Amino acid sequence: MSRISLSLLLLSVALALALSIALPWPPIAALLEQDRPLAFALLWELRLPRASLALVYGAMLGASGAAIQGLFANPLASPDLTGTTSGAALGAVIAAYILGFSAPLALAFGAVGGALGALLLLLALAGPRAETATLLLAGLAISALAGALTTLALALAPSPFAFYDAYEWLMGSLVDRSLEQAAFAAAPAFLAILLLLRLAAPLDSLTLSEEVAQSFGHDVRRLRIEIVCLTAFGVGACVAICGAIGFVGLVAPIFARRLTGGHPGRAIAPAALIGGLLLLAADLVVRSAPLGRTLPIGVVTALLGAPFFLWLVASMRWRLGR
Amino acid sequence: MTDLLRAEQAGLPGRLEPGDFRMGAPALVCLVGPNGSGKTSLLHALARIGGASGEVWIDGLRPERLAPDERRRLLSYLPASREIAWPLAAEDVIRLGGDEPGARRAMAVLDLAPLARRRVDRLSTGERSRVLIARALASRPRLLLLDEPVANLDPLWQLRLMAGLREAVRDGQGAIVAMHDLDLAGRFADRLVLMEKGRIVADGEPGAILGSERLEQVFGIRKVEGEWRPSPSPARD
Repeated sequence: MSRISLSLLLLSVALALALSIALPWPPIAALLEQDRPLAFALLWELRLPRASLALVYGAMLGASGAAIQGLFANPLASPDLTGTTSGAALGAVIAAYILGFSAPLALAFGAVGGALGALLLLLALAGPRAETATLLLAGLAISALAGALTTLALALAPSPFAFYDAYEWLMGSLVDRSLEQAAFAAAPAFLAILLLLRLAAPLDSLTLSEEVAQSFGHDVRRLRIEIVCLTAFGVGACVAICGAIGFVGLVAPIFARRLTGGHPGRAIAPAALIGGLLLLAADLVVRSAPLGRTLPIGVVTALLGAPFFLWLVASMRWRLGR
Repeated sequence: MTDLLRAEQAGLPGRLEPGDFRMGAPALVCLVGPNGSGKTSLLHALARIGGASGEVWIDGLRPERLAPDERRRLLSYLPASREIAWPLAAEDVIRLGGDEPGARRAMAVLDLAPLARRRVDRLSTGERSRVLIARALASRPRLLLLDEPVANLDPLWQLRLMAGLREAVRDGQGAIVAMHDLDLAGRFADRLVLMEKGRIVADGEPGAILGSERLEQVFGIRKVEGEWRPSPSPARD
């Protein structure tokens, strides 16, 4: 990746972050004149958690999407299509509504456990270097199963309001999270991204086949375990706080590899930046949509991401000439 | 003087019986044997791929103990598959093998400058083979472990590659090359290793092995009037 494209990417992420904190500006400007401490509190306790959650969650989805795509040698692998986010959502719902925990730590444990279960099930079903069809079918089956079990868990929940309660969270939302909650998702995700970045070289060598990567001295089995655990850890923590957000983990690595000449490992860093940028942009769309009420951000990423996904599937089919 | 390659009880469970293997001075060794006789497994065992047993020293060093950058200066492995997972440019694939000077040199050896910026998935299989061979050469390793490098190459490039390997041996690199073309192997190799059912059954001077009865038993072919023909049964079981 050239230095210019990296600086441009960093610059646009910084710009989107600033916009996300500052917009809409008029109420802040008015407050700054009347009550400065309140204006700062509003920026610090409402705007900052939301913006940083969008950045970190998007970055986590982008980085883990790039790593998973590299690992499976497949551009259609991603945390959402492989059922990881649905598994995490299921784990969090069970922790919250069946076991009755409400502390963020318990939710996070539930979500990480659910994500890990979904990824291990995927590896067992689809195998380590999966054909596109097997991978998508296994991911679809896991998502469907996790979705059904989530609904079941909510239906069996002691609280009669469970469905209503969980709906907004399940669709993915960054609204009204406290600074502590933001830190709770951001810290594990940030750590997971840093650790994923270390795996760039082995993932790049995996391009030449598993055997060649082994001949270079990379332990492919350990690489697989590390990626699965880091993805479950980071994505699980984010899902516990913000719910399941789709398509960012699919789209960001695909753009990122355009910047790295196709190298899957080197794409982790730009994929993280692009993921953060996409989610910040989606959140700005949510806030500026003139609907008089807030859309769940997961709906926006799905509305934008699904057509891209369809285009991707169609172009793969055309390329194969079928 | 340390051996270029010394392997003790190197094997792969279920595929290659543990055995010793030695290459003193740099040489071009060709591995021959029918499909499934263990040529690839021997290369894997020497490159320490996929749970290989036993111990291997290259230039007195054990590959397992080295970091990836040092290890690829010791050995390179070229798999028989010409598939590549991501649509990289040819020169980027070659750079995965070694540093910039090494990559440039390998590209020159295989005359890849015209293809440098092309995407590997849009090359023909033979062109892709050359790119992947260049990748293996790029780290200038002490030992080249190549699985069917001449497959898919046109006749001119087959000859050029074998001559190139001879030159590499003259410059001090060792090469162990699995191949099916017995004539080509006989013509260029210093030493021929014949494999059957996961073991080495003959090892020696190419001329002697190619004319041996063992070869006829293993392959079920013999040379009649200068061409290979199926031997009258029951040589192959």
